[in-house]
Formats: sequence, C-alpha cells, structure tokens
Amino acid sequence: MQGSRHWIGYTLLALMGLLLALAQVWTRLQAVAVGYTLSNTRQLVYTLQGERQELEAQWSALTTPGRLGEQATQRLGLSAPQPEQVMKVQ
Amino acid sequence: MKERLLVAGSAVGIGLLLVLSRLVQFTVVQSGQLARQAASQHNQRLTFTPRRGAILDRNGELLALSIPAESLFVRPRKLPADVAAQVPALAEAVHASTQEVNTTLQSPSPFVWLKRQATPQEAAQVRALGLAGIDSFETQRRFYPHGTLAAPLIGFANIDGEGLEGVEREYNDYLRGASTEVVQERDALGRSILAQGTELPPEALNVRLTLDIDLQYLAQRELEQTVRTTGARAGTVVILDPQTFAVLALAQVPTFDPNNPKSVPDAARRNPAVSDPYEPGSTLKVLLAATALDMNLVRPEEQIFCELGHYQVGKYTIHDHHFYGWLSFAQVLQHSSNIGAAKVGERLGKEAYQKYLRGFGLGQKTGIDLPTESPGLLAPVKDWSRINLVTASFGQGVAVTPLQLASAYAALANDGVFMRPYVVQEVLSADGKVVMANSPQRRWQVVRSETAHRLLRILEQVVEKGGTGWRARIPGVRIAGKTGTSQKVNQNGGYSAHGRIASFIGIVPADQPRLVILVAIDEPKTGVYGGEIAAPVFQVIAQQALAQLGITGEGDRAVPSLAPTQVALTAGQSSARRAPEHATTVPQISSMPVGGPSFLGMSLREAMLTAQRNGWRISAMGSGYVIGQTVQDDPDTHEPTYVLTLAPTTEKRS
Repeated sequence: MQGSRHWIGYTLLALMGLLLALAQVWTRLQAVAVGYTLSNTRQLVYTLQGERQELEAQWSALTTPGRLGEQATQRLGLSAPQPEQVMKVQ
Repeated sequence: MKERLLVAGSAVGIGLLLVLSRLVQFTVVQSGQLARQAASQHNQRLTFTPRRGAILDRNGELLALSIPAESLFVRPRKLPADVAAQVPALAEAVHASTQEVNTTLQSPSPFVWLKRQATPQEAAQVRALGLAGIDSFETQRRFYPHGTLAAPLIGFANIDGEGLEGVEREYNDYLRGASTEVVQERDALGRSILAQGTELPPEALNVRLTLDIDLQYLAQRELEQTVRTTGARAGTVVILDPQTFAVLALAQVPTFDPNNPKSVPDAARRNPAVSDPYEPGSTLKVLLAATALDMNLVRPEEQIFCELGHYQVGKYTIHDHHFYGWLSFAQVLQHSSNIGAAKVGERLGKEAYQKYLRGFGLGQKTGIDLPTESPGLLAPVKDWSRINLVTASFGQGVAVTPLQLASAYAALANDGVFMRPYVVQEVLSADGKVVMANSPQRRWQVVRSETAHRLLRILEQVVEKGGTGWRARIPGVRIAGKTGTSQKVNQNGGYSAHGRIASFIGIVPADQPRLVILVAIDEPKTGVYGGEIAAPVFQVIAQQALAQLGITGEGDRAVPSLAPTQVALTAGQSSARRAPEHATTVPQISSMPVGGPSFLGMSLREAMLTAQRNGWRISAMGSGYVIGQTVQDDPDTHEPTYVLTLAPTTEKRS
C-alpha cells in the first residue's frame, strides 16, 4: 500500500516535469512565432515609412512653387496681381 | 531469466550513464564554448543606419529627404550563359549604355555594382528580366523635390549619405543620425526572429531652415530672368530678416540640381554668396556715411564740393560719372559721387573708417552656419595709404561677400545692432521635439540707433526721383537703398576694362524694416549700372515679397476704407467647397438699399472694388453674391458702413 502511494507520487511528479518541459517548449515556440510577427511588422513599418516618404517627396515635387507658377500662368492663365488689385480683408 | 534481466538492466544503465555523462560534458564542461557556437549560428549582428533626416523650410516644406531605393548588384560567376542577349534590355532598364553593362557583367570580381540607388521602376524592370546572378538590396536615395531651388545653400549628400556641401555638410552629424548595432536571432532560412524583442534604432534628426521657399522661388525666378535678359555671367540675391538676421532666401545663377550634382563641375556647386568676395563699389558708401554720421563728422545737409568730376589724389585722379559741383552730403549718396565720398573718407581717417568697417563685419567671417565662408578682404590699417582710404570710401580695394554686405545693411536696419546671420532655425527629432535651436545672436552695436535712422532717411532719397536707385521705387512703400557699380578685378590685379558687377541693396519698409534685399548681377551685357540692372530686380522681388508677407505700404493700395469684413468662411474652408444649395436656406435680410449705392447682385470682389473706388466702408457677411444690404453708423468713426449679406447662388441677381 505504502509502495503504490510512492509510485503514484513519482508518476505525478514525472508528469508535472513533463508538463513543465512541454510548457517551456510551447512558450519558446510562441516566442519565436511572435518574434516572426514582430520582425515582419517592423519590416512593414519600415516599408510604409519609406512609401510615405516617397509620397511626400512626390507631393513636394508636384507643389514646388516653380511648377505651380507654371501651371497657374500657362495652364490657367493667371498672373501676379498688380498692387491696385490687392485688397486687404480684415 | 533473472540474469538476462540483470544484463539488460545493466546495458540500459550503462547507456543512460553514457547519455548522462555526455549531457554533463555538453552542459557543464563544454557549455561556454557550445553556447558561443550556437549563438554564432542563431544570432546575427546587424547595423541599423537610420534614414537621413529631412531638411525643411521655415514653414515645414520639404527641401530634402531620403526615399527608399534599391542598389542592384551582379555576381558575374552566377550569370546564365546566354546573358549577352539580355544586355540591351538590361542597359535600357538601368539607363546605361550597353558597353557599360557589358563591362559590369564581364567583371572578374565576384561582386560588382550594376546600379546603386536605382529607382523602384528601374529595379522592377531588372527583376522582370529574371536573370540569375543579379540581385538587389534596399538602400536609400537623397531626393531634393525642388530641384535647383536653393541648391547651393542646401548642398547635397553623396551616394553614401554623407553631406558634401551646404546645410547637408554643416549639419551632417544631425542629419546622418547614429548607427546602432543590434543582435538578432535568425532561423535556418536566415529570417530575423525578434524573439527577445527589439528597440527601434533612433531616427535621424530633421533640420528646419530659416529659408522661405516662396521667397526663394521669387528671388530665383527674377534673378534667372534678369541674368538671361541681360546676358550676365552670374547673379546673386540675398534676403535677410534684419530683426533676426535669418536668411530668408539665397538665390544664385548659375545653380545646379542636387539630384544630379555630378552634371556640373565642382566649381559650379559653390555658394558664391558666402564664399566669393567681390569689390562692393558704391554700396560701401553707405557704411562710410554711417561712420561719418555716427562720429558727427558730417551733417546730411552739409555742402561738399565734388570738384566737377575730377579729383587729384597724389598721382591718381578720381572720377565721377557726372560733373558735380556742390552737393549736400545726402546728395552725395543720392547721386553716388565718388569724389564726395572720397572727401568724407579723408575726413574720417583710415583708423576710424576701418574700425567701423570691421564693426559692420567686414574682413571677418559672419559666423553663418554654412561651410566655406570667406572673410572677404580688408587689409590691415597699417597697409593703407591715402589712396587706399580714398578708394575704399567708394568701395574699391575692399572685398566682401554678398552675405557680409547684406548683413552690414541689416545692422543699419536693426537700429545699428550687428547680429550673426543664420540659416538653420532648429533641429527637430522625428516626433517634432526641438533638439537644438538657433536663436538670433546679438553681436554688437555698430552705430547708434539714431545714426541708423538718420541714414535710412537719407537712403530713401536714393530711391526717389533723381536718385540712382529710382527704378527700385514701389508706390506706397518707403524704401532705403543704394546702388553699386563695381569694376571687377582681373587676373593681373588691376581692374577689368569691361567686367562690372551691378548691384542694389534695399531695406523695406524703410520705416519698419522687415527685409534687406541684395541683388548683384555679374557682368551684364545690356548695361552696367546697379540702378539700371539690379534695382528693377529688387523692385519686383520686394513688391511681391511684401505682398507674400502681408505687408502693405502706406498710401495705400490696400483698402483703408473697408471696415472689418466678416467673411463667413470657416477656417480651412475654401470658396470652392461651399455648397450652392445653401442658397435656398439663406434668408434675405433686406433686399432694398437704404439710400446710397446698391451692391445687390455683386460678388464680394465687385462690392469691394466698388467700395474701394468710392471710398465707402463695407462689412460683409456670408459668401457668394450680395442679396441684401443695410446701412449703419460705425460706432467708432460714426461713418456710414454698408452691411452686406451674401449668399451662394447659381444665378447672379441683378
């Protein structure tokens, strides 16, 4: 009777050890999976930042005063106002 | 049976013992060494270089930034045998000649660049060819969206992201950012695993300039046009804020495209406004006048005999362009008499004159935060003879950079206080926090405030009718300025027979200075005089710059008769966005004028023009066309004010 109790105890201990080992492996696998996600997300952030900068560069190039001036004068027929045409609205 | 069990048990036991001993060997005896080996396989050491920071103008407009690019490389030994057939397509994709591409592909090196910093389109075209042995990795490319605009001031960075000229060079440490090294785990395929997490490397800092891109464009456009129409060799415009000495614009012709700096020789990438001194000619007479007035050695109305155009100084003869007799000191400046200036210079003496010239920043660097600044040329006082003093009185024998001269005038416009000019307002972190700020730095008081004010009043006469700078005049705006026509020094140390620099420096508005504008045109072909060539450029730039800055003159071209107009536009809402259907919901307050004029049916612009022409005061509410009007007395002035109600409508009411 005493012996079987010991066996049950040892078995439970071994099972707990096994469970702990499995848990460690599982957490490690989870950490690696999250690591991949982090890595991919960081790459995505970097790529999106680059795309944003590219778009900002395009925006700046398209709105450069020289281009706007050219569009205003040549395409829309606008001209700089003469002093008497400027009215100050307070 | 028992024996067999014993044998089997012993075998298992010995086996376990061996495993255990091996375990002890790996985990205890060799643990350090094995851990290192494992780490070297799993971990990789990466160097993160942040994207180079951006350069912005004073309003946040992007002037330089780094964008993603791909660097294409070739491993010649891995190229397919039939690669020769693809050479033309490859050459077209990377915008190179077939010969260049052939040379690259046949290189004996195991690794050779095909194209660094290729555009995404170029990289995509190369990838589409599907050639083995050609690959790419991500990098960054410096991009200057405004092209040539302010290029000598902004400078440029090389292919490795190192600033080589201008602000790019001076603020390279901030813009480049710090590279950081991190250790990352990687899997069998070499992919990164951030299992331990990682901190993002610090981003590079951005630099905000004092430059106003709109003023810069205005200055560049007018300068380019003048250089073209006059057939000049070069030109410079400097615009300073005299209250802070912040550089608002610095335009030069010729210039270069920093996106492709190698397209011009090294010399063409210089910044002459801070690097190349020239003899200022008559524009220096203003500093002479400031000295004389500050020392109370001359009065504006004092008469000076100008020797009818010829003045003998030892073996030298000084000439004026016109044969002047008696001129007041103010007229000496107004007509730019060399002889009058020479006589005042002799009265000052070389020590006093030099002391003031150095006070105005001549002969030394201004300390601007740009590389390759020249101190100009102002010989030691002991080396000056009488003729040196005389010629320096009208701007010969002294060399200044355009920035130095603009700064000297800015001191006069700043109550006589000299400050350090600067181009970088602040350095910002990626999230917009100020890391470093350049605040205006007062250096010293050159002349008394009273002297500066008196001189500005005199210089207003230069721009009036009869003055040499009358072409710089803007109706309704007070301008103080001075013309200059300087002879260029030739290679032999003498003066060039034909080479002239025509210049004009003005301070606007003269009563409350906001801008100092220097215009210098190098070797114009259609004329030589500053008043003829440079003053009109100043006039156009100043007029439009003042309008851009919202500065109206006295006089006045604005609408002084207008009462405060309440235009019912919410912030950020343009007239184009107003919904026309609102017209049906706008109640008509009054459809009949209460005596006087009728504004009914007019647009706001028409109503304002009508009011302006007739001197009526109006107050407007709403937008679109006038649908009602009432009259009420202004509580302050008791003058009648027409209160107009406007509403958007698809048809004009008549």
